[in-house]
Amino acid sequence: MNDSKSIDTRSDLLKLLCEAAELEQGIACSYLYAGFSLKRDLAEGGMTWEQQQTVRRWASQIYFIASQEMLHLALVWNMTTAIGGTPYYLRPNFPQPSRYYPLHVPIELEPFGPRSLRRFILYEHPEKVAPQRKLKSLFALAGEDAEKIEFGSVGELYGLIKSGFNNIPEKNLFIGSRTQQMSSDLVHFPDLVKVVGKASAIAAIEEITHQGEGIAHDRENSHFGAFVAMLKELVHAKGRGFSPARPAMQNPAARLDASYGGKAKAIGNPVAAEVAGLFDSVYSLMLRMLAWSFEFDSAGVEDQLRKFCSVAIDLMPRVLLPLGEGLMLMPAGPRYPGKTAGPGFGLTRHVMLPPDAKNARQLCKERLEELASLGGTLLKQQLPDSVKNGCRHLQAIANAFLT
Amino acid sequence: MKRDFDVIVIGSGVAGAIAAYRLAKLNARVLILEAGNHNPSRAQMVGGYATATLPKSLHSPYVQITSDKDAPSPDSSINYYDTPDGFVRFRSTYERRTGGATWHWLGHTPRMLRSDFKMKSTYGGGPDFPDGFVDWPISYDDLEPWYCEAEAELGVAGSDAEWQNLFHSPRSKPFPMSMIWPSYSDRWIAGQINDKKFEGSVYRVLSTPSARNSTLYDGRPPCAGNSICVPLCPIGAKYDGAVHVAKAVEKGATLWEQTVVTRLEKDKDSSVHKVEFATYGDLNKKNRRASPVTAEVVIIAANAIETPKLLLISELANKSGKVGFYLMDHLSKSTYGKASEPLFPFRGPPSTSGIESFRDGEFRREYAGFRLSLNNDGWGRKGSPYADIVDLVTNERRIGMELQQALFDRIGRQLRLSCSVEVAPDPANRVELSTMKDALGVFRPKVTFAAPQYSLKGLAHATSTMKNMFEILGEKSPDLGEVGAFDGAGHIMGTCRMGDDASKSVVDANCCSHDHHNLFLLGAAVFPSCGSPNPTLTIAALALRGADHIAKHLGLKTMQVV
Amino acid sequence: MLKRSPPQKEALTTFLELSRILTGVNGLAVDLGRQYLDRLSSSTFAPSLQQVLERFRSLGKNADPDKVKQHILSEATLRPTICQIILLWYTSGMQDPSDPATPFTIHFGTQEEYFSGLGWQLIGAHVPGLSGGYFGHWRYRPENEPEEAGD
Repeated sequence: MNDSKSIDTRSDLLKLLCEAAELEQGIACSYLYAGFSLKRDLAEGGMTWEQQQTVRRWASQIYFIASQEMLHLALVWNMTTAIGGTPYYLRPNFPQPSRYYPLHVPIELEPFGPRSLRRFILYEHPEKVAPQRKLKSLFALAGEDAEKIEFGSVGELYGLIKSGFNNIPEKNLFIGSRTQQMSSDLVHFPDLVKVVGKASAIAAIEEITHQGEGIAHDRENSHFGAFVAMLKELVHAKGRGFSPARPAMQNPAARLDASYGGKAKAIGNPVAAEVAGLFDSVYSLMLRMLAWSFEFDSAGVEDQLRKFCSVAIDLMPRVLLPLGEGLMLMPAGPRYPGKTAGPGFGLTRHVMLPPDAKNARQLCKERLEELASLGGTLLKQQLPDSVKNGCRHLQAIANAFLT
Repeated sequence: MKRDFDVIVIGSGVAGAIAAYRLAKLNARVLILEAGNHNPSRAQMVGGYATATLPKSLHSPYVQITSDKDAPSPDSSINYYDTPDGFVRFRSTYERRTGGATWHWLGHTPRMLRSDFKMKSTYGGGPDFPDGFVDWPISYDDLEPWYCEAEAELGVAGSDAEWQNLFHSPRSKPFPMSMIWPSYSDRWIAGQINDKKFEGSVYRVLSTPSARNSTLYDGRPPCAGNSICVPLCPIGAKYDGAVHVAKAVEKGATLWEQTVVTRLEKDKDSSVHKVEFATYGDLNKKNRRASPVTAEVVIIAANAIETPKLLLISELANKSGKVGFYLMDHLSKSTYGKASEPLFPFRGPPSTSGIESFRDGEFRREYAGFRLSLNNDGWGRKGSPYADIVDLVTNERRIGMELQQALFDRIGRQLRLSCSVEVAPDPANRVELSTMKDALGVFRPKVTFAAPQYSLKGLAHATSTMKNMFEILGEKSPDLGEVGAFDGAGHIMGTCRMGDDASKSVVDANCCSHDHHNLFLLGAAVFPSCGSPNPTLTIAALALRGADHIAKHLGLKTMQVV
Repeated sequence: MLKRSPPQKEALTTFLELSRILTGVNGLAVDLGRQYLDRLSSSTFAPSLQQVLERFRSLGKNADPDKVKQHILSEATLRPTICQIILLWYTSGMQDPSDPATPFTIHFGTQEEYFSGLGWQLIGAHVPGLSGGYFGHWRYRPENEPEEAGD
């Protein structure tokens, strides 16, 4: 990350937008992992019916916040294409060490609990607010070493991005085609706005920071406020056998390769590893489809783009969510006694989808069919119901996808 | 003379709570008197609902033995209304609890339309147009800024694109939150029905503005699809009046629960400063005064049945003779059928979209307009899925996987459409005092209501519209219920109507009694007419506007309407 | 906790196996089974329940839905009890046979039982009162959409 206090070249601004895209995506995955780990049914044990109400509320809030991080990613992509760049969808695999970003907080995949909530609070911590005594004592209650807090903030990053939009002359900067810009009319991200100039760029940044860290007189309704409240509730609810999360492993990988950090662990159970591999492949395809949509100039073919995007969006609730939750009901493998598996959100080398729409759809159709076939093979195994559902839905989506 | 308080607010439902909050915020000394008690925790209420016998009543989360006996309401006691011979018992009910009936409302917040405020001048004069219609003394434009305020106070989610300038009723501000997402069912229906015509109107499915969070708002979470909004939101995503009661108390208002106002007394100059009350139950009376208690201004915000009841008992505000007259409640009807494809009911809020196309038009010279709701609760009101399980096992002898498949086949395509039909004001529909009293010795209300012909004609049109919709959606023989039959909508309005002419109305355009300069009525009781939308947003807007006026009356620095 | 006698344990085992066939759901929770068996055994369904369990036992290890239909469900006097067992597992509710408003009057047991109802998932929904997942999930086809829904 650029160490300077302000940004005044397009190239530096684009690089920061890439960093923001990585961060938003990484943070969203971290939230989703925690969300997947929260128990659903009383039959899973560890919670009374009243605690189940609270646990499901936590899950819905975490998923909601994750969806807003995806919206932030979409806004970053709009900002990127508005100034002539292309949407950046890559990121390092998990865990991302704490020094990778100036956040000084690792971005990792960890089940819900006081540790993960502490990380979430630090991700969203307001830029201008130093850690209050309250926050430190809250972390202490959660059993964390509060004195060693040292972090930057996502808000600082956006502050630098904002400076770029302010400093670089608007006329020279906004060279992207307006018909590339995505709005909620074309892709189902509510509150997604087009970025067509400085004012809309600043408004997009303010929407991101307002949702994330809140504003001075309204922290309560931000992600930061929600996580602080959640940690307080968890700390007070603990005890007497309350166990809201599935015992998922940390930082799992379907298939370990050198792109993973040292702390990632290969899933040992072969069926779970295959399901995790399928998850990664669907996730990667979904990302590439969305990134392509944000780059594609849809003038005159909005309807086609709308349909394409709706397939990508549909993959999230109907395939990724049930696969992700289901993985956390499958054994991690003999090396991880008592632990369950989880999705690694692993990204591997792959081409971006080609600029030609027909070719892009062809590649997607083929890939969807391949993945659907993998899912079909998996269906012959003993699987949790939600994993079966995810595989079946993948088949249905692949069948319905037209070139 | 120094009064005990600056303002006494009788009733802690949405109208009273909002007014109390706004006035307390301006440092007025506010006392809220609530007949009922506060509710236990949400978790306890959910538990009460879960184990309540099916069909689960609106009251099932709110059962409290003492309050149900001593501050009864039609929700808690079947015989609370006294019904005159020859009439059917009034179908709509309410809760007497801190926060009021918004505990169990659905949460829909459409605005009234421009012409709803001016029915007589817009559509009057013809032979079929009811005499009871009058124009409001205020217009849509007068209330519009307060609608925006109300949406911010309650936290309303809606679609700016869909709702701008509906029937010439523009919006000057965006919704505070983007819309509650339409359900899969809504989207499928929209694909089948949008742009088709029926009886001169064009079908267009619109998401329904709702006081239900679509994001973190006001310290409350976004909706998570618990699906039991009626009768209770387990997580507080749906607004209820207790939100503003808490805010009012936080700003310094005093709240006395289990306190039933029994009478108001007027002074020689006709001002009303004295409020008499009775208490019940296990009450900590520390820091409380004994009855009566006094205030500079008295607000009655006790809904359109308890408000006129109190006025009649106290023999106040009735020089016009109209207190209790013109009771209105939208005619509600549900129709049932099956779509040609699975719609996956029993998910999300019970309703997320509707059709507004039939709310306004020249036809209102002859028959009532209506709102249509698309519902996400299948045939739940007819006993689904319980009745289906029993039928499939007992009569079709299905078990195991066969039963599972048959159950989904039956239920997956279930759809309920419903209407809410405008009720014409009719002086024959009224609230009076019964001769019977409740456990505290307070007169019960005698409620007379029969649907006016104008509205029954509207109901017939609404029913045939729903029939037409079902045909388009694949159902040739929907269950349309009995001809002319309807349910209560829970929208109790109209018994202390607003007007400029003191001989024909109870309050003026600022909700002040014509007869008592310091007595204000807030809530739907003041509606001269009701259009077809759910009334709560209009109630909130009038309460905010009224509170602003009261603040000026008290010489407080008023809040700017943003 | 009360120790169950061997006949009670056997009754529970039989009840769970019968319930598995009736509901079409594997892995039914034993504690829940115990609670439902207790509720049935202390209701007006008790005598009929005994007959149902005996008949089911007599089908032996090869009991399957067809055999249950042929030998138990076919008997009109036993059908309400079969229905009641399924209703309990699917919704935690019980009809009151003496109430003329049945099947629309349903009585419930504990909150744990209510929130463990299995029937809602079978129709792609969730127990009313418990979150269906997250804001907006109702916009999409359900993640637990039954296979029979087709696409």
